[in-house]
Amino acid sequence: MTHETDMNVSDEMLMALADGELTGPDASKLMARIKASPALTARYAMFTDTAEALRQAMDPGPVPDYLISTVLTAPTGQAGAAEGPAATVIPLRQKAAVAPRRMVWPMALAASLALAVGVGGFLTGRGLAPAQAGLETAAAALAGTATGGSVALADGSMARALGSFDTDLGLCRLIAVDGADGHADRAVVCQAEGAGWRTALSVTEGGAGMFLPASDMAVGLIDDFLDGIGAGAAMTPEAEAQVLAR
Amino acid sequence: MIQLLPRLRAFGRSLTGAQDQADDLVQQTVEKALRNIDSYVPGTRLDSWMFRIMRNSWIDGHRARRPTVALDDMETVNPLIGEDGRDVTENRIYLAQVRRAMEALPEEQRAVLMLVCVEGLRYREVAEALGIPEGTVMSRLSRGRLALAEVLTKAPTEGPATGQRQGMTP
Repeated sequence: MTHETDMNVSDEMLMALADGELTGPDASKLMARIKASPALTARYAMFTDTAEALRQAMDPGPVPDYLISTVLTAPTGQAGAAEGPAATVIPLRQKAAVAPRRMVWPMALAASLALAVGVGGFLTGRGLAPAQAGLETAAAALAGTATGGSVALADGSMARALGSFDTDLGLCRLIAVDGADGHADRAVVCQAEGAGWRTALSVTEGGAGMFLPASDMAVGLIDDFLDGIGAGAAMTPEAEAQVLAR
Repeated sequence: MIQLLPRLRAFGRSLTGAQDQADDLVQQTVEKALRNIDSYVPGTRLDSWMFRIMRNSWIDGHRARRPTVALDDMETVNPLIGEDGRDVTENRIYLAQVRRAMEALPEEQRAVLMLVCVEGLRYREVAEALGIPEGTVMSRLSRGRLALAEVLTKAPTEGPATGQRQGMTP
């Protein structure tokens, strides 16, 4: 007799009961039948046991604080949110205001080695290649420094962190290196997987005597580049601290 | 969105196989979602929208780097320390077997198992969140469970866990 009724109980019903989908009188009735039948009890146990095993084995524990703070502090909406524009624009524009007297040498914008090779012979003294190595060193030196902070490098130049961005290339930072001899580099450096920082774009703002258009051009190029790699608004100090700490 | 975090972590775990990687993925997902919050249509399910973002991020960024799956998250095991040593070891081995068995399942089955069994969502909620029919949720759930149960009944949970095959009642 039990055998016959057992056959009428589908796996779906047992599973629904085990997962709390089945409630009310139906659930109680089914539960009673399960109790009365060892065969049903065994089948039912398969569903409750697997669920229990998973709950224990896959328990993710409490939500880490940093995830909560990510939700609270991550920049929202590129375009129009209330505090968005200020956060988005100011770090970059300020840069222009900070260094209005500097002159930009647009050709040096090219971060590419191709250009460095192409005009390498033409450039005297301070070649592009060494400058880029210096930028990566500067980026490493700034790794623990929040936006707005600066670090003095061994060669007497000053490295400054101007902003951090979450981009398609991963974490990227906009940094400035002001050489002791008056030249200034502005670079977007991106964190390479397990290999420190790589220069994604560098702009050299030349020293005295170079012929240059407004430095806004460098700012515009850096802006365009950041847009191109999918950078959103500059990270908030909290979000930045979070990623730099890792 | 904070309320969704447990669900996102469970879904992330079903993709990555390890909780720390899952949490990284959750963080990226949250950042991307907030950055693109304009493209979220109010009134639609936020969790499905975020699951899609997470899935895409995972496919884009991580899948290629497999396999770096830790079989045993220390964090999950730590709370057990302090209990009877032998039981702890056995329990620990058993839980590791469960995790391994989960990893062997297809991703679709893992996702429904995580959301139903671990997160305690209703079938209907899972169906809506994943954008699949409720019947599909149930069939995946049932298949995944049967596969798990099969692995677990083969693996001993009593006595020294040497991985030998021996009959066992669950």
